[in-house]
Amino acid sequence: MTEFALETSTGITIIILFGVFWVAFGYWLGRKNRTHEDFALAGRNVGFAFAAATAMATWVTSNTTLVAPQLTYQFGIWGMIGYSFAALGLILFAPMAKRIKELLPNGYTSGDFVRLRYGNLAWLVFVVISVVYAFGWLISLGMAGGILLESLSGLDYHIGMTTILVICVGYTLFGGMRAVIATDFIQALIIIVGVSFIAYWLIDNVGLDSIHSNLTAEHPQLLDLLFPAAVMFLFNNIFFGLGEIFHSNVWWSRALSFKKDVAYKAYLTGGLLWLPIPIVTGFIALAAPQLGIFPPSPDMIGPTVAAAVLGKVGAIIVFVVIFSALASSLDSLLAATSDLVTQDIFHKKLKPNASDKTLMRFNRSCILGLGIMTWLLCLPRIATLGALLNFAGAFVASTIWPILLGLYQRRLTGGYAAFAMALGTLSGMLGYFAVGFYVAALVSCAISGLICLVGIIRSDKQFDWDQLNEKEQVDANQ
Amino acid sequence: MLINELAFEWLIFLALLMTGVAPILLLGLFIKDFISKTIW
Repeated sequence: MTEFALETSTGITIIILFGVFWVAFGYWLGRKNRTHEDFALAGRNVGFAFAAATAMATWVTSNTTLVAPQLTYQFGIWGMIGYSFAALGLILFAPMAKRIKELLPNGYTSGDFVRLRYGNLAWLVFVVISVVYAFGWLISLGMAGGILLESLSGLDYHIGMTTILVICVGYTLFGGMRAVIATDFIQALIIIVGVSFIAYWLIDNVGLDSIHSNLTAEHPQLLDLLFPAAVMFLFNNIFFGLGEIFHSNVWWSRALSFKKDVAYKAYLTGGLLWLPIPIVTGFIALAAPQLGIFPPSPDMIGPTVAAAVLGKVGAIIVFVVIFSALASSLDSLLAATSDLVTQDIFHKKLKPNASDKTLMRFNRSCILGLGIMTWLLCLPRIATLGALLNFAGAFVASTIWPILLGLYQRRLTGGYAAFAMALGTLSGMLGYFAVGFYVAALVSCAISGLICLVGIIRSDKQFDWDQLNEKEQVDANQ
Repeated sequence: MLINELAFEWLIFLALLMTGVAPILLLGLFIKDFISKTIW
């Protein structure tokens, strides 16, 4: 009898089967990639079904499946409701996605937009924030893969983490954005069905009334609607989610990949589909005290409860769901970050005359390089997933106002945008260390917003939106 | 102030219902795109 929910051999078998399938699927989809635009943006022609699914699946990450239960375990019902409010990021990005398609019909990345709208200084600050965030997220995903495999099947952390990185790098390398989006569709279905099944099984076997009674008697703070730190977390999480989505090239590259009339409704649908998932995954953690489960690491509370209630079948479902959640975000992040490096740094700054073939080759090298760097940074298990996630909040929330105002307001200039992002980030980090993780994004967003407001009041300039349509200008010169 | 049992149950049931509808919706959209050849 093993002390783990799954035998190590079963875990390895699932990983190998999934790995072979995803890499082969990625290779098959990659055959259609003829140009760098095909590889990076799936030909800018993704339909509604794939678009909605990829928006939803990419936002379901290790954080949704591991951290939402962890936060529910720590903050009670506000933990899961607060987490579900991160759906606002996708929903509010819907009109922005439409605007992005209109303003940048030939754009590639969010960095493209910042450079053209605000100039080089703001671009530099933005790229630093984007890269820090991307690595924070990549590391949290890589670590989550290792933690998952180890806790469920006893497979060594380093082997599990390496395997999941190799698989995701493999199919993204072969198939580019087309593979990322098509696999996201299947992964979205697996995640939703798996999560629903676990929650239903838990309700059927333990009972909602029983969970509520137990918590009322033994842990009333988890049902408290006025839990101060939890309410603060709710607002912090909203701004964190907005910052993540508004600035990250993961979401911009998707908006640019979708068909023109699809971007708005895809993000709106994706957000609505995502909204209940943290509540469903978070709720699973509320059964832990009643079941006498107190895991050594709080971020494993969800999988531990599911495996305890459903036994081996539950462990397999959890394994597959979290693996899909990790893969759906890891591939997106690898593709989007490599696009950012290829387009913004290599193409625009170093090799403006690079051929399409060179760009494609460099993009692939970037995916591989990012995978290797993530692997190196994941080797030491440096922080819990929650800590890593919330630290990034200080960075990304500072970009909310510069991005939003940059898309809709002509008066904000590059100097103020750069200052807002830099000072917002520093203030958020100060809040993180001085007060707690639950204020980092709030402070960052507030300071950045204040600077942007001053910038708009003091500015007498009017930005010309046509400057964003870069490719047309190049073509006109030719 | 604690959330009462009825509100707690409704919160979880509603979330589960919305999650359950999602795969049906996604598959429906996929079939529609497939038929009209607008997947990509």
